[in-house]
Amino acid sequence: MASCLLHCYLSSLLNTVALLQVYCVKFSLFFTREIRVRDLSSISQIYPVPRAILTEFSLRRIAILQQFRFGNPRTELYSATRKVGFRSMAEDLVLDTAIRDWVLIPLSVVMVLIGVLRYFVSKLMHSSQTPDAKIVKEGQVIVRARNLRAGANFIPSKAFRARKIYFCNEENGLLFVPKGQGQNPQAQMFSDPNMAMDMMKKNLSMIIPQTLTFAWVNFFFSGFVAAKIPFPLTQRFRSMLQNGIDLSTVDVSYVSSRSWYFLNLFGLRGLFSLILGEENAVDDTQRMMQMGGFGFDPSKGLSAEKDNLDITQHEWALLNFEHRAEAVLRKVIS
Amino acid sequence: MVTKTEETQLNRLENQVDNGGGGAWDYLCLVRKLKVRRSEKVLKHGLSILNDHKQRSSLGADEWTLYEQVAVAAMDCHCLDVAKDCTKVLRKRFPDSKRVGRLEAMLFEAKGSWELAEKAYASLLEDNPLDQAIHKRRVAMAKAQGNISVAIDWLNKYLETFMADHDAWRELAEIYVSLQMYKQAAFCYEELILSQPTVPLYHLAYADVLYTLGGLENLQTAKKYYASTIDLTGGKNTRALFGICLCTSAITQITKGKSKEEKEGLQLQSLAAKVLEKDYKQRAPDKLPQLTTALKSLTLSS
Repeated sequence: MASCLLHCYLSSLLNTVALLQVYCVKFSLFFTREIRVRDLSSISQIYPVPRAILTEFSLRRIAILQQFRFGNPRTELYSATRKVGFRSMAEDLVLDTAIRDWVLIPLSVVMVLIGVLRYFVSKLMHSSQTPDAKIVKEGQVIVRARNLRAGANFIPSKAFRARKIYFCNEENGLLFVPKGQGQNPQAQMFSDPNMAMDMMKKNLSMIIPQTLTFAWVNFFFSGFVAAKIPFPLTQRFRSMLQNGIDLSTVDVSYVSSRSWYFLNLFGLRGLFSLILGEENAVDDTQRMMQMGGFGFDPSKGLSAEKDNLDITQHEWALLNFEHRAEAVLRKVIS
Repeated sequence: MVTKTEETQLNRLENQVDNGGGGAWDYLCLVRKLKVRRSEKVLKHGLSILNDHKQRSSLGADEWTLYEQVAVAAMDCHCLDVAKDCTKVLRKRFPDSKRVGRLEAMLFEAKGSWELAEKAYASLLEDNPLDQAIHKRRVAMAKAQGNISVAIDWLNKYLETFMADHDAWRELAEIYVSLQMYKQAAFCYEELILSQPTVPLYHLAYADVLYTLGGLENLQTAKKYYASTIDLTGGKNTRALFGICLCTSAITQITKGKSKEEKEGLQLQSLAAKVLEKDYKQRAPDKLPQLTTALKSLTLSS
């Protein structure tokens, strides 16, 4: 069983790596060709950019700035800049069709594919874990004690006292945790190999693909202006949409490739629920929250609940209900 | 709990489906979501979808859920052939599913072959000792066989682990009431009030149990809970109104001679009686004489 699982991990890992390699080759070809074509002098010919700014730009960034509108209006761009002048250059930034074909679309497609792949991998590795009876019971005890605390005033004080003692007494109360018995989660993890296994699976299906894709995006696509959204936005969106380009002159409605990656990472959930079915959507944000919840110690919850219950005072709420009922009945009669 | 809007939606859909307006699948989904028991309708409309090949295949993966739903509904209606067919189809599709195993065990149960069902449930529980549905099935089975004490044992065992499950508490309370074990029932109703303090039905049932138990303290408490029921329902609960009258007269009987706070209670009683009379006048005028004699006997005896 374990070897089978290991095999699964390895094969999935290899798949990802192979995928990456294919893209590596494709894109390195693409870039060497592109960069050779576009050299500095040609750029300065097209854009009347001051030399000081030009030197600041890295080669690749210039390749971005030099993007053309979808279509092929090299001449159109030229005339446009001429007409309006340098001041509005940032607004008239036009994107190359090659960027659409080689950055925008591949990035989205790869994100979707990785999401689907991850879904299948996690499905393969999914082990139907039977929860520990003790943990389930502790959770239920906490819920019941919380109910008792919340609704204490609705039951007679005799009943409340009986329950309080049942929960809180120091001999065998349900919420009483003897000292030293509360296991710390780390020791528990070592004693229970299943737990470590689950951790590894979680890592494998979430962290590793994410780091890999991020590294991949960073390596190949850093600094691209990948898309333009069709409406203007305020400056505050700059950090969201233009992660990876440090230009303050570029209009905020342009989206950098790294930001496009993030938008895809968090925004593809709807698409996944369409492809993989409603409840199968891989939701990264949710998973991250789950990760945060790891290491929760139930015995801590028990003792906290015990403290809360200890200080709960009982004031029977029903003492004046007869008067309230009278008022209600008077209203009914009148 | 089914809220009012959900119920109206369900009834509207049911009406629409019954009159051939379509939307059967939506109706079945809603029934499943709300966990209501409308087995006959589910059986009728579910089967019509399952028998229509085109409609069935358009469901995709939900087809199997529908099979399960129809199977359970068929067992409830004692259409064992349909249930058997559905279970068979599911078993063919999912050869080693525990969920289908549960269905099969339920089929045994529906047939009345208790021992086989018990064996099946036991083996399922061995695999997953925390399966709540199976624990509950066992209780239901013991109850169906008439072994009420066994059912109580199972329920207590179940509640030891799943002590926040108020449906189980309610079941236990009703069983205790049926066995006239009122103290235990009172405990269960306290538990129910704790988990849902604003449901008037639990207050009412608790008051009933306390009134039945008798004794001055219990009667006073019962009266308070009847009062809270009236408050929560806005005076529309007839049983609570009667409860107030009965409690007050019982209390005055006990405390005869040493009256202290009786006047207040009497006021509430007369109010309740008035509301009752008004209600009866509006809704059942022919029973009004019976009511007046009953109320008179209560006030006379005090």
